Amino acid sequence: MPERAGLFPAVATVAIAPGTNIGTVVPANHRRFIYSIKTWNAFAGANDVVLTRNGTDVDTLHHIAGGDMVVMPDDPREDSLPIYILDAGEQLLGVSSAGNCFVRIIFEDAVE
Amino acid sequence: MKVSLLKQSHEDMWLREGHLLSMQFLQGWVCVRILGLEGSNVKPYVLSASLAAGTALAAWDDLLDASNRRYTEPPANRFIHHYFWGVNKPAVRIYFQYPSRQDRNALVAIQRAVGGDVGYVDGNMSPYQGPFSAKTEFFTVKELYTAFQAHNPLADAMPLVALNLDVMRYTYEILTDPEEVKAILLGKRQRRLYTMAGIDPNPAEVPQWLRTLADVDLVVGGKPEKLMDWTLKVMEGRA
Repeated sequence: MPERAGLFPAVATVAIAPGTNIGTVVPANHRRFIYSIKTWNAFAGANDVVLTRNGTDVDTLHHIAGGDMVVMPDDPREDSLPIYILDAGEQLLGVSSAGNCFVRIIFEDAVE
Repeated sequence: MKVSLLKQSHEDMWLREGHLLSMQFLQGWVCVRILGLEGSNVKPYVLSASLAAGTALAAWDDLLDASNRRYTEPPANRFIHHYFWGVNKPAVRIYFQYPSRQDRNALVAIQRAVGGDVGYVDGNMSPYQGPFSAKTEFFTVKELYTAFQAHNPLADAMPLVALNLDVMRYTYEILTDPEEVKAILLGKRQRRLYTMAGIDPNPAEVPQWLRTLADVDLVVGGKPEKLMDWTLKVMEGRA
């Protein structure tokens, strides 16, 4: 369950390979619980964003056209489960297939 | 929040008029009767507008107002202050000195280090809106005050790290009748015992002004005795 006062935002303009880090490295003895992600495709055409954590695929976000957005979850609640979880030492990396894509995540680092 | 629901409210722990309080100093116990009370608070007390990732405050914070008066030190001898506190960031680690420059809450033989995993209270343990952890409770008298440090263990800067101090201010009378003091210390009268500041390395030294008032001369078994020294013997079962 997210603690409002413990939430952090991270924003990045994700580019094509090798990609762009979204947020910092998860500190030692902590896990990163990502509760929300929002993207906006800045490329004028289809553009997928592959999310990885230290080489492991996490998700692929599809954008069919320029200006498309992905917003997850649709209806964030205080008791929402995290949509992604990273472990200590890991960092979220976004790699887009065709061009830039703006990404914003909301997360909490916690020892849980 | 999840864990906090199991805790007792600190508001049940305020003393009331007529309650008895015994404070253990290094030199012995001082027993007082609470005469009156008045609540106050400091909310928020901002320790840092932005605490950088992996860092602590540049210096210990005595919790000062704009005129450099300490919030945790009563402004006059006639007051005792009673505090509980919470902090707004779940992960920020608050370390504590009481008296100022005396580290508290160590666990092993080495001194507790700011930034370490020992001897702190974080916002999960004592949330900003309460209920506060019993570990955050402290009493202060004139010339005794606390200092706080904050450490951000995360990889991102923490904005607006703030404390919520809930305070009860008491007026009191010092009790020096040895029979009454003994009855209080031995639990024959309902009372609240409190070790001033902690036990490691030792309780806080009694301020000289308070010692002058509380450490009266006794004659016990035909021998001269000082009340505070005698209270230690009472608690050790030697008097």
